[in-house]
Amino acid sequence: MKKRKNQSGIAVLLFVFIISIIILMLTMGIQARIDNALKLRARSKSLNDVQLAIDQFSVNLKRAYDLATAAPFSYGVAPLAATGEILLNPAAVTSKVEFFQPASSLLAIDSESGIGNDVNEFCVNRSDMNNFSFDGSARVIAPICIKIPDDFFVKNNPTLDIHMPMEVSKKFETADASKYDFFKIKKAHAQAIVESIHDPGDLSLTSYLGVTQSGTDPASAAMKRQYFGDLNCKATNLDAAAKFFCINIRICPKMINNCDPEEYVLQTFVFLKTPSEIF
Amino acid sequence: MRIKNQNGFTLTELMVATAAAIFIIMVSAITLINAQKNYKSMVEKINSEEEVHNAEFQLRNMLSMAVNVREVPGLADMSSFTNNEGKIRRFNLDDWTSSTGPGEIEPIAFFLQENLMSAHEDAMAADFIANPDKRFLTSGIFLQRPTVDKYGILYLHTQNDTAAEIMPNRGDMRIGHVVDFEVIELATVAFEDRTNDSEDSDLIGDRMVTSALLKVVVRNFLPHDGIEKLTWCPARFMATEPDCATTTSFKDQERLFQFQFRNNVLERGYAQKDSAGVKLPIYRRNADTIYYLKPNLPIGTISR
Repeated sequence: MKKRKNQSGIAVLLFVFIISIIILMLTMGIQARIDNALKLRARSKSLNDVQLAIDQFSVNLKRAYDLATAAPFSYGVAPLAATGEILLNPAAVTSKVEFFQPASSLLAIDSESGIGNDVNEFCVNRSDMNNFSFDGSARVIAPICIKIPDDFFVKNNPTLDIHMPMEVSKKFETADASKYDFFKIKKAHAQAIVESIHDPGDLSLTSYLGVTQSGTDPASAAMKRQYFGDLNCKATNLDAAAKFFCINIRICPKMINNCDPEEYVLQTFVFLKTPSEIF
Repeated sequence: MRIKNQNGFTLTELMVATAAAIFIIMVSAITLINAQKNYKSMVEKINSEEEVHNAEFQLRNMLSMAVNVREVPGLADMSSFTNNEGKIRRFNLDDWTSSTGPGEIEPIAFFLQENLMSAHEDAMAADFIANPDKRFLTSGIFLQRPTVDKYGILYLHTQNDTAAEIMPNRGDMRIGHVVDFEVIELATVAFEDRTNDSEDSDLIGDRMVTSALLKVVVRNFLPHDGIEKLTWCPARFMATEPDCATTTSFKDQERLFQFQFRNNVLERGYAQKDSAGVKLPIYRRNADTIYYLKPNLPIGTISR
């Protein structure tokens, strides 16, 4: 009787063990599928955040630019003047904008995770940054430090010919971040690193290489209004005659881990040096 | 030994043991089935969230590189795409009616998109010099309308040739399970040519688009045995249209997002000299004088 009990105990143990193994395998399979789905979702979300980071970075550039040229702030819409005058700042002719690249420093977009600087404060400061002078001469401008408010994006200005639907306009004013992710800049999870700032090749009329500006070819049609022409961002070209410069940044779509080189999103901004130089 | 061999289970013991085993197996099976349903539901939910995130990313990625885009009033104005005429219209499915089979495909936007990759070097530029048609890709966004039994599909179409006809094809990026799509708002500004020449007379007065507010809704059904009727009507018609009735539980994922047409031209005004002293026109963009090259994304981001 005693031995029978032992035998039945072993059978029960075996049964429980087999059931446990089956459940464990199923659970692991389920967990793996959920993990894969979560990873895929996180990746899609982070890529959207990268897009926000690209917009955010250009906003900072524009703001720094506007302040440096004393031009009125007007991001998101064309800076039209009610009087019909283009925003031409005579002083800007002689006080060209300079941008400075913090050496190996981060311009972090993520204020939630506490990584790096808060993007809502973007500073360009000559004192501790590399100087990139566009025409070869030394220039001095005051350090610029910009606070980006939450409602920075577009203000509906009734004096300008800007059509902004009322519903959207209200959203802009209230910056209803709960509905419009576009405005949730603070929650963009990405790191933007200034990769390089350099001049492109000289832009001349030959920049329209091989492209006719008339006819029905869609490519040439687009080129017609593609002022920047054949862009060629050569890192070694600091030709003073160049009218543009390129700013390359790389953005890591991961929140915590560092990116491998192939995982970065690269973004080039082409920036006009002196828009008000000649009119 | 013999005594040992004769030792066995009594019938009662066997019955009790069998009943206990059956009970444990049944409980385990029910638990596993429920767990499987739950995890399937969870995976479906995560997948549909990913689907709608991806829809946002792909639309944003494509439209933000569009150039020369203006708002047009409606479908009639979408019938052709010629030089310089990037077009987008407001759109919704308020006129949706009950039907079955594949839905009609409607254009939402036509445009050329900048294809010059970020951080490119000389080799890339040389490629575009040799093949200028690749510099700007003819692009279109189409919606295959959802019907009662077929979900809607967003086609994100690009072609690098100059074919006269722009139409969606199987090679396009496709976003499925769509049950609703709207171009809710288009913020625009009137194009002006401040250089007073005739170069851009065709654009004067057009409403150039600065940003858009879009809505995408995708649907996923909770676990079912495959014989239930799955309907893909827009949510607001589910209760009113008899054909839309379904006993299968579903979950709609809605995404509302706004984005900039970063490179769109807004006005032609400034001039600037090139190195030879010749004045050049300048087209103001959405971010003033910042021009965006196409984001250089990790391999595999676009191809799905």
